Amino acid sequence: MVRYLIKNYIKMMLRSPLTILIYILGPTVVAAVLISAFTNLMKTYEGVDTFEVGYTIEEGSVFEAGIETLIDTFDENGIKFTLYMNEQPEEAIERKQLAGFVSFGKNDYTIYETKDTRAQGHILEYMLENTFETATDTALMAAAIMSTAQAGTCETTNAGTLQGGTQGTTNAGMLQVGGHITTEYPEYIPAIDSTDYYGIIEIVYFSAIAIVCGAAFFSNEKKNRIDRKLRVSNISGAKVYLAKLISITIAVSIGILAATLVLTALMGVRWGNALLSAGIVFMLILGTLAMELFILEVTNSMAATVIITFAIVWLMGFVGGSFETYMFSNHSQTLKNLSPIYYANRSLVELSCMGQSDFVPITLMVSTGMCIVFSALAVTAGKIRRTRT
Amino acid sequence: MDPNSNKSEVIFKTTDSANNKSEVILKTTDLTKKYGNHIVVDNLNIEIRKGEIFGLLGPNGAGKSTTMNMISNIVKPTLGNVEFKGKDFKKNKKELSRYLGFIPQDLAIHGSLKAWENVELFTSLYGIKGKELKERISESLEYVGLSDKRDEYAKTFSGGMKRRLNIACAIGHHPELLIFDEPTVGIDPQSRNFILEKIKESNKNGATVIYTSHYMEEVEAICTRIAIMDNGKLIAIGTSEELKKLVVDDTSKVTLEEVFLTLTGKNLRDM
Repeated sequence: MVRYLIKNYIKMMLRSPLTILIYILGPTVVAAVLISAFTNLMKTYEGVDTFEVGYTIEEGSVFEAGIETLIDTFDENGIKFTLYMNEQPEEAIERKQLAGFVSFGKNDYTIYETKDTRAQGHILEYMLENTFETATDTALMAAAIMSTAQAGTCETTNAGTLQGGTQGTTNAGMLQVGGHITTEYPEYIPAIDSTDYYGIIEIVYFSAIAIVCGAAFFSNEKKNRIDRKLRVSNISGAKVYLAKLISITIAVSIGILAATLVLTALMGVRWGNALLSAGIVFMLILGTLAMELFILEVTNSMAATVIITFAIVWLMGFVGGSFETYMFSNHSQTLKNLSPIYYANRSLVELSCMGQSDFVPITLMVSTGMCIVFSALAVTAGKIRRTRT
Repeated sequence: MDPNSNKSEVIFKTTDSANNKSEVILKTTDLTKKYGNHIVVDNLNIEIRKGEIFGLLGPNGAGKSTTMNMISNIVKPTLGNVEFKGKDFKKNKKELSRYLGFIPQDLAIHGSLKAWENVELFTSLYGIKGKELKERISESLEYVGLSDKRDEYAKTFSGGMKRRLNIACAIGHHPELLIFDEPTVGIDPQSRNFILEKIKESNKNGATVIYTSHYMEEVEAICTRIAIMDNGKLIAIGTSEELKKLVVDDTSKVTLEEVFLTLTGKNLRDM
């Protein structure tokens, strides 16, 4: 009997223009707007191809000895480091279309960056800082080696992290000053562009408000007291709940799939592992919908349920993975861990840019757990409410 | 009895003789419903016999709908119980609910479903499926004269058609007891006549009917026995003739509506 309920519930939802509007046009339009609006912002974190940086160096500068090594190191990392003697930094950048400029003084250096090439500027700063830091360490170590008259190879590991992930940078150069020093960088998360990022999070958001898909149908059911007619029959409250959970999940999944195809075809959003991503979204719909059906059972009001759902989803998104917390990571890890959206968003983003994610198992566990716990609570709450009438 | 009295305090006695040799299909014992301190239904004891069309009358707030809801197992009684086919209905709901068809006052249909889909949804709740379900859908729609509209959406129907569809949704599982809660509200005379004829036809085919309405002439025309409730209490029960005799000896000089007003008073019942 549940089969017929599910079939007809799905028909009702898919025949509603609201469903089509919310679940197909909604993510598409919102993602398109955000992708367009934040393209430049996200470019800061994008991978950068080879670029050219100019430099001048004063005679007798302490950096003279290491400049050749610096050129080699930069070259290995896609930065062409070119000498422009007697040039003003601003003019050289303008005239030669340089991504930046370094002016080496006697004992210090100045970096010139442009607003248009902020990503390259960050890389340049990072590279200079690390190279000279390493050189200082090396010099100190070399002095120690020489003082103990021990010849041989000394290997030092200097771990660093590229915030935001600069693609293509792995092992920063080898600087040989009396010894063999290797600077290694740990694995980092590659960058994601605004298209993938906003395409993914809008799908996550709209999946997490699945109850909206059933709003018209629930309102009609309440208005016409159809639930009473269900109660006259011998169908149990648990079966009716199950029919609603499954039918809304299927209807929302169809809408979300359509929106995903539109986003992929028109905007070029990448999903990495499409099947796994689909599974994560499906389970997220089930988990969050169970929570929303529980809220509906408790409040017995569709309007209140929609308001509470929007507030919860917004909060979950705010603390856990949307609004660019994935990129900037300023929020408390504890808060993130409390947000189911964090796991789904992070898994999907990592699948998109890396093709795999360690967060997939926990994401699926959290969604499954939510589905089981809130389903049990919803059925119990419904039973209590019906017993009281 | 003073027809202008505000409230009937007397429980009128009638012979309650109709069909008294038939099997009792439904019996309420001390059926009571309280919401806080407000008693909506007060110790209701009625017996409905197989093959009857039993009318339940009362002004607004008399407790008719609550009684119907308790009989249908929608509302839990505060006290008392309902026996259906000789068994405690609450304890045997799973077994007994398939014998009950409830046609609510509200149009309990989905506008975005086609006529046949509505019947399918509600008939399938009783475990009917496959070919049998298809046959029951066709049969139910034909019964209420909507066969030619089976593929049309319920939201496009007129008030009368919706009422008929509402009935079709409740009869697909062939219930033995049909409960009609004001099924003719807001429809044209033709639709009303059609529904009343169908109720009589169902009764002839063996169904027992409980019927509530504010239209006295309807109740008088189709019901074999009538109960009048007021302020949660059963104040009179019997055939139409028996109820009329409570007021005057010459029953031809009084209508059921006059009897009703005499027994329940003429004051407005603002709930």
